[in-house]
Amino acid sequence: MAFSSRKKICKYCENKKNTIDYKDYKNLKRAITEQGKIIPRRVTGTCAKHQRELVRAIKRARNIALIPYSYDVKQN
Amino acid sequence: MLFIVHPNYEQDRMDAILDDVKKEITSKGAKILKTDNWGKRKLAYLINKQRYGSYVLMYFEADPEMIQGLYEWMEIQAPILHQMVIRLEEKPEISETSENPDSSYSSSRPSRTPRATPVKEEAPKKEVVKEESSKAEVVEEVKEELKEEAVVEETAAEEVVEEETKVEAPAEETAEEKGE
Repeated sequence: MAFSSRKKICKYCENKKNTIDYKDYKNLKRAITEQGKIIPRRVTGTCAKHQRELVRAIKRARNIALIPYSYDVKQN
Repeated sequence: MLFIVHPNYEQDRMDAILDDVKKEITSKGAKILKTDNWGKRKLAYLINKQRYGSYVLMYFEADPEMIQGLYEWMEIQAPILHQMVIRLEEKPEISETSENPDSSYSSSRPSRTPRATPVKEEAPKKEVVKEESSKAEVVEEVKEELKEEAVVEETAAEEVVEEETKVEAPAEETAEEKGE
């Protein structure tokens, strides 16, 4: 069917080795857009629990300047 | 606690700053478990007009009450650009983790800092050490990545310049055509 979307699986539930840590900003970059926005879980398929942890980690990382609050896309 | 030291402070003065911070923490009755100097790296955005900063990660056991005082002290220190204290989440402390969403961000809010402070038991120490080792690896990766990014930026800049020249060339042609 053209409109049936395949079931999304939370990659943090799937692989227990994927831990969420605010210091691990390299992995956090996968959860933000190129503008620096947090990607909603309806897009990524992350489960509610892990999305909460992700958001917390991203905001911590932003605070301590590991990842920016926003990228200037035009500049890049 | 993770804090950023001013980039102008090099090795000797950096050590002095670290000693000061350690003294301040221990004088408040806390126990330092581990310090980890990440070295100088680029900040994601400017802090006090500085583009770079030296990150230092410190693990310590402390009473929640002392963190407010520590924060005030850290704010006064000129060499320290920014700091953040975070309580480690441990599985045994289920009742406390429920409070965590509130203490998740904005360390600059004083009312939230006490909650974000670690009152750790002895058991989690091993985990902390493990975490540290993984962190060291991460830092290495980070350095490599930064280099890569720098290279990419350079190449990207060159490409942009080329594109601009290309764009200009056809525009001139069309202008000539119009003139004819």
